[in-house]
Amino acid sequence: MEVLNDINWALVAPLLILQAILTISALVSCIKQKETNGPKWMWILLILFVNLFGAILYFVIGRKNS
Amino acid sequence: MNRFLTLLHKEITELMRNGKLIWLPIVLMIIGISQPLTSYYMPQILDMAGNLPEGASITIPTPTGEEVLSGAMSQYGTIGTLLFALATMNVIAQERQNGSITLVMVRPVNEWQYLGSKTVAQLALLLLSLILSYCLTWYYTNLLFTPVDWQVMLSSLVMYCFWVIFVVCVTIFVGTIIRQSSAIAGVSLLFLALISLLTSLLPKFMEWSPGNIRGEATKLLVEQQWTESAWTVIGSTATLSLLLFIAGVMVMKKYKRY
Repeated sequence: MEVLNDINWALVAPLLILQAILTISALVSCIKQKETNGPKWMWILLILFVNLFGAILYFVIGRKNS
Repeated sequence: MNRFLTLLHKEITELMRNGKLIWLPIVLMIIGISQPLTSYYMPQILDMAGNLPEGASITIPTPTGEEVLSGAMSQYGTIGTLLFALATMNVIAQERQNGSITLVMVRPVNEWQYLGSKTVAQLALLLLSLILSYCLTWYYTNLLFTPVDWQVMLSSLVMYCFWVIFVVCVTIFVGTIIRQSSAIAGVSLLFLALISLLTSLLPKFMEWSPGNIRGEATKLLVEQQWTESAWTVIGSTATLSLLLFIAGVMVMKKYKRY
């Protein structure tokens, strides 16, 4: 994996940080939510493992509006 | 005016509460930044992907800064438009479904104030996210590729903002007609796609079309001058957006039941 050393991490870091903020805020919101559209564990898995789109989908259709 | 400000305040609280204020800027920034980064690391990515026969060599010309920015534009054009429509589809539909629109409208609030507050709040959020994202992308482009003049960057950004305004106005107008939020997103995206399709099929008759905005913005980046056709497109898009907004208010005035 010498390619990994070629990458300038200072460049990629903001991307990873943004990604992390998005995932964490989606997770927190999902856990705090009383009820979601569909099972909650499914949304948690989606947010964690489907990069970017999992969190977007959760925010757009996963939240149940009270 | 005072009532309008109160409604606007309510909209902004709503934006905070449903998390749109967080996810939309972040997602747009991710989409924006990944464009210069993937262009920059393209050789390594191809290397990692492998499957190339031994000794094969691919030379990829390094794109100029302007080309990278116009690549980011096309990302905003596809994924971005989808996100904009998804983000705005719920604004009216949700209040109609849970009945809170009736509670608002029995107060001395007219349709102009109601729809205006919604449009302004959405536009503020979307434009702010777009500006943030585009400026970051510009910063990265300057760092990794040839520098792009800030005036060129700014004028292409302003140009592109009109497309966002158009998308929001279309989605909110469709939202006044249809009740279901998924249908709202579907119909407005279909409409936008139709406009883009017609623009590319009949370029002669559709010079004024809002579908030309991205092309004009790209032209602005590459040729670095503001042309006559840019004014036509901007003028027609602004007029169309305004007409759609007025039409939305007219539709709301006709409601017998919210």
